[in-house]
Amino acid sequence: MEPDLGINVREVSKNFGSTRALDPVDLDLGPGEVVTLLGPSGCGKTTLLRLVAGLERPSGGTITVDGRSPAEARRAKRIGFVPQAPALLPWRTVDANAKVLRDLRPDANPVSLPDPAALLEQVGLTDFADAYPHELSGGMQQRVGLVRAFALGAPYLLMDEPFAALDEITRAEMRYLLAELCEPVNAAVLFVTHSIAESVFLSDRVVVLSSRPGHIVGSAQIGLPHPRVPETEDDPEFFEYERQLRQMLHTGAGR
Amino acid sequence: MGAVALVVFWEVFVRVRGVRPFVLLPPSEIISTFLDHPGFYLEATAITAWHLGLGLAISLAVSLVIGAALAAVRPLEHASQPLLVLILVTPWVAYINSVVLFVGRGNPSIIFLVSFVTVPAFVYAIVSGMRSADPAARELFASVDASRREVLWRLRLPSAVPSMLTALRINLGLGLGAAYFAEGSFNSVGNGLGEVGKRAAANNQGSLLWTTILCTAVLGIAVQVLVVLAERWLLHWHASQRIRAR
Repeated sequence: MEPDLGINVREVSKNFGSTRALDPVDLDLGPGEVVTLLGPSGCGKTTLLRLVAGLERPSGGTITVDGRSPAEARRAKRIGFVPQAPALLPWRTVDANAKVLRDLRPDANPVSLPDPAALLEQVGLTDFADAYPHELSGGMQQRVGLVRAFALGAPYLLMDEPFAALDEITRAEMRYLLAELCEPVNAAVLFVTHSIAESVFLSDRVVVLSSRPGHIVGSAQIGLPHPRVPETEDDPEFFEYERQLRQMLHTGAGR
Repeated sequence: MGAVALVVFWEVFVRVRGVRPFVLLPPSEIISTFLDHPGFYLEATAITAWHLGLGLAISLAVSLVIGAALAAVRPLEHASQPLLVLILVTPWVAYINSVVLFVGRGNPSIIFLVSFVTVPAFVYAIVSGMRSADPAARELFASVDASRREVLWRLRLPSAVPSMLTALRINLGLGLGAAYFAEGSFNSVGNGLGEVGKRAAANNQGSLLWTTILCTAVLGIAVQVLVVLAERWLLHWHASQRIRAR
């Protein structure tokens, strides 16, 4: 692996005014790796994600994406962002919304793009391609949000607690779906969540953050087999990983 | 139902109370006056409609430019408030002569006044509408480094359309009043409704006056209906249109 491929975060910290949101952290994300940032509310995990996406500037430290700054990575459309709220454009159909990131600055699109219709089929929304966002449930809207990010064909996917607003049953369905979407694609994924089950199910590695000011308590390598299927959650190893992470979270909270 | 009752009451009231024609004409006489010379009234209405339409189109174009600038630069927006409020509250009678001197007699003055008084409502609507664009969507656009023009065209302007249509409803009434007033402020210009009405008032011609007034009202209603239809078509995705669908 070349040294400057992937995402490298070195000694990055963030203050908002006088509030210290994030203590200096180091993080690495290799190409094709799925890494989850796990932590309680307010621990700075979303801040860290947004710093990597270039939506905020770090107060200290450096971030590189494939050797370039996050701003350059955004300019080159190397980042597919999934915000917490689906943020669909209400005046566009589902199909048009799925394509919106490709339609912006089309000259920077990669040569070969995934087919949005195929992605919509994979998430089960083919029948709703001509529907408008107000006709969809929250879960369906977030599925469009996922398709929108994958349709960009970008090598890095950054997801900010995309399932946080959904009920437990829908959340479970969505993580199975996300695992399916990630499987054929060689994108690296940085995923933020406060759900232990989500982090174990989806990732190759989980990084645990403590409460504010956020810093890294520890990380766990998840050695479960790919592809991840719903049955994986019944594996005793799954529970063991969950226990490990719960332990780390308690340690972080006790600070 | 309400309209029918009003018309019936109106007719009866005028006849029973013997109201003089100049004060108020019964509906039956208005209709017969109109039917005597329909072409004359239709032409006058068309002229006023033209003044209104062109004035609003110019106002909208100017407001879009101003609104986009104000939405982008907050200090500019604060600085412009006094001027916008001034335009809204200053009575047209006060400065119409200055307008004529500045812009020239006739159509230019009429259209200028219509545009001038309708700009503030459009600007307010555009600024607040653009600011109401979903912040999460703005971040999404930023994640692919969308250009300012793309953000404006694909996100902020569409977000402003609902409030712009509401402003249009208000500006139709305001603009029609300004057009009527300005038309009546000069002589021998073009026979718009305002000019006809002023002449009728000056010459005590009650039937002419009231028929003109009715034409103006019908024009006002017709353009409002157009806006309602435009809202249904343009805003089919908006919450405001969904309530009636049930």
